[in-house]
Amino acid sequence: MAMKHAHPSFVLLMFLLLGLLPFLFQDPRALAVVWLCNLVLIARLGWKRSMVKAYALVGGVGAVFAAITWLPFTNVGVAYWSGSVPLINYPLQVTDIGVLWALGMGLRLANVALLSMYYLLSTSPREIAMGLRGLGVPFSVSYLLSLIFRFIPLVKNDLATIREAQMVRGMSTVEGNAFERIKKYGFLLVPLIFSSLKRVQLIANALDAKGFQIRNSQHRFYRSKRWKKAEVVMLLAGVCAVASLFYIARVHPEHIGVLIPGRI
Amino acid sequence: MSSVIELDDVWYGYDREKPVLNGVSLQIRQGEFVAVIGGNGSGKTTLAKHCNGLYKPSKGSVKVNGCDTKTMSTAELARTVAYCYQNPDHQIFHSTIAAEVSFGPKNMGWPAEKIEQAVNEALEAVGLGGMGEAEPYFSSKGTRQKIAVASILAMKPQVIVLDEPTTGLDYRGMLEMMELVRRLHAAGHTIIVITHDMRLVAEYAERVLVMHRGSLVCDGDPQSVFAAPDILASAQVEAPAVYRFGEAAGMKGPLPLTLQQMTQKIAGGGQWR
Amino acid sequence: MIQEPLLQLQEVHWHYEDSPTPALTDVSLCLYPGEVVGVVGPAAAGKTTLLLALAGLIPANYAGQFAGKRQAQGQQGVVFQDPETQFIGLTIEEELAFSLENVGCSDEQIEQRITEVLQLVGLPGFADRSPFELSGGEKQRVAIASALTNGPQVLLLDEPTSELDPLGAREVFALLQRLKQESQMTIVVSSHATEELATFCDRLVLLAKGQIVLNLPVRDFFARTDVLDQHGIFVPDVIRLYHLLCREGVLAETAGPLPLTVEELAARYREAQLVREGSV
Repeated sequence: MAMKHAHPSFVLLMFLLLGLLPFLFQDPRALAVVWLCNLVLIARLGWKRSMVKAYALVGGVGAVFAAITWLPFTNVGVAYWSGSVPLINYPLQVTDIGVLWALGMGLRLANVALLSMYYLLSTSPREIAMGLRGLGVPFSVSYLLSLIFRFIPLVKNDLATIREAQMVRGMSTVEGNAFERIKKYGFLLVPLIFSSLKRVQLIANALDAKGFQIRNSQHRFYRSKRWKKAEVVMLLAGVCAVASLFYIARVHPEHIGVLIPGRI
Repeated sequence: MSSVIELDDVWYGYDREKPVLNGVSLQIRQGEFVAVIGGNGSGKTTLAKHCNGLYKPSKGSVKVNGCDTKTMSTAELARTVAYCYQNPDHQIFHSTIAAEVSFGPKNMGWPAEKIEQAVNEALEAVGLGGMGEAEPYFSSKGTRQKIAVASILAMKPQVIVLDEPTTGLDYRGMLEMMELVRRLHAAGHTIIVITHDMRLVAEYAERVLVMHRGSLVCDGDPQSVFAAPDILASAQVEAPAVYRFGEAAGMKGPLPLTLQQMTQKIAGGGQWR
Repeated sequence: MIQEPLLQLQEVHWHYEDSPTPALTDVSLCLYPGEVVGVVGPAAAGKTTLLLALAGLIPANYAGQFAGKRQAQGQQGVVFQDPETQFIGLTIEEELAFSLENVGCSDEQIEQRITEVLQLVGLPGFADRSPFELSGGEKQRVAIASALTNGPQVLLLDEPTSELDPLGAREVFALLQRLKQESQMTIVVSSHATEELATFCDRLVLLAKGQIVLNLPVRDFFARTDVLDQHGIFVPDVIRLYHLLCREGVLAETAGPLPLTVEELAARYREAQLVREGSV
């Protein structure tokens, strides 16, 4: 993947810029174009089947959920249907602009989910830390944030063992109605939390034993990358592109862009 | 003695090129005390997890009391074959010891009086009698290990599988745990212990299964295993110090496995040199 | 020749914040250059606490009351019990570079040191691998490598083999033996595996309920079987066999030092046999 050779801060900034795009537009047609472009980009960069499936679940369900929750609460435009929430009489309506707005919000969520999932899953914690450091975030903060990802596999292993240990005591996670099954997953949480808390103390000891300090001006990364000219140029071009799209979408939104002025 | 667990040509593996178990067949009879030993990647844990249905074979069959494990869920098999994990912290989540120990029986759907009796008996058996109201998390490792054993004892299993029960315990803790296991054996349970402590094997086991690269390479009493250096090497272990001294000293007759046996041999007089 | 201790605890008391009893009481310990010291004790005796105090992690990382003095020259490297949780990096290279990055070493210095240290622990060329795919013994060797990267004078190991299989434990102790022979490093190991410690350490410390009960050279330490039994410490079978053979008149205590391995005991036994056969 080309990302491996790029400066980590460059990758982070490019993803942040791409992440800004869904918030420039409100019109679902524009958002759909942005989303499709991002999909093509990600597909070109290369994503694994497991991530595609995970995205379909998180992005798909999340997008539908976002759309449905926004739909009845938009009160601008011509209403197809109106009603109210029982007991409190809060007005609900489905308007033409409301439909577009809801679609837009769904697409925004799908977009942000796509970009953040791809970035977090394909960038190692060390690169995330290096990326943040390059933006001026202090080393200790960026490192501690990236450590969370480092311990996800250990926690996954713990969860698998805990599940087995409860299964051999007769607990079955496949029987029973939905409520019972949720309760059973709750049984797995307590030992998981305890073992994770113990881990946190051990990790703190290991970090300190290896010279980690909160305020460390001496720290430098091994084999840190240098900014390349091409990257700087692309970054500046990206900023200009985003600025001009902002202008089109917000300052002169005659064709595309804003449905409901005053909302983000 | 009837066979309580029977493995018939069991194969298991995620990768057809490198099966984790290749064609293992054996029978474990009611009331035996079996130790399973083997080096890294030998398949000893996978073998043990077939005995209670946690894993189902890709080929061949595992029968518990005559029933094929493929037709039963782990939860059902838990009534007969109990599995005790190495790390007690992976299962404890209740706020009192009694509640923790009663988790298994509750899952079995027993009536309340039966559960209470089972819990009390289990706590007595592990030496935690009367401590039902105590809090489990912050007690010592040895106590937590006993709570884990009590939790599976309360389900009144026929067979108990212990996965490296003495790891991380100090010497006293190890003695207490193994004496508990011996008492359980005397009470009629069939015991299967996965271990890499040869001293433990010498002291407690009647039968030793040696696993190497997914195959059962030896099935015999501790004497015969310690007398076979290539078997020991495949399991990446050494015979206990007492046995090795007997060998090095050129002792006559069957070599003692434990300190007690050695004391008897030497102090008992007669020709042992 | 009077040597300066490299690391010293003087009358240290430590009380964890939430604990009713003190974890360390009046602990004084000196560590000299080149020594190898073993720490034994029953569970909850305070071995881990002692090692954390030697490393300076107590009181720095823990809430509680600390009294007494700790003096240290140079750096200490620490290896913990759990082979996996102590890894910081996702590759061995990242892991080893971490402590050197924290002091601002150059790329060349870091690269050279990583190669050196991997050679030292017997894992050359492992830099690109993930520490999680290794065996237990290999993982702990990487952990030792990681503790050695910035050239500490003292290496502290808290029960490094208690979660390992016998092969892994042997690998770790073989590495420690090599370190002992090839460098002037001071090594402190806490462990339940007294048979291993017997052949490896110069001196052993018995810790019970937070207090130092014995602090003796290895053979003198194991001669005190009464004290060891009282505190539930495993006395290696070789030593018990030796006492048995002495009691039965097969061996004479005065004929040589306390044997610590099967080979030493067998050699003493064969000598005694020759003497007997010679005198018949």
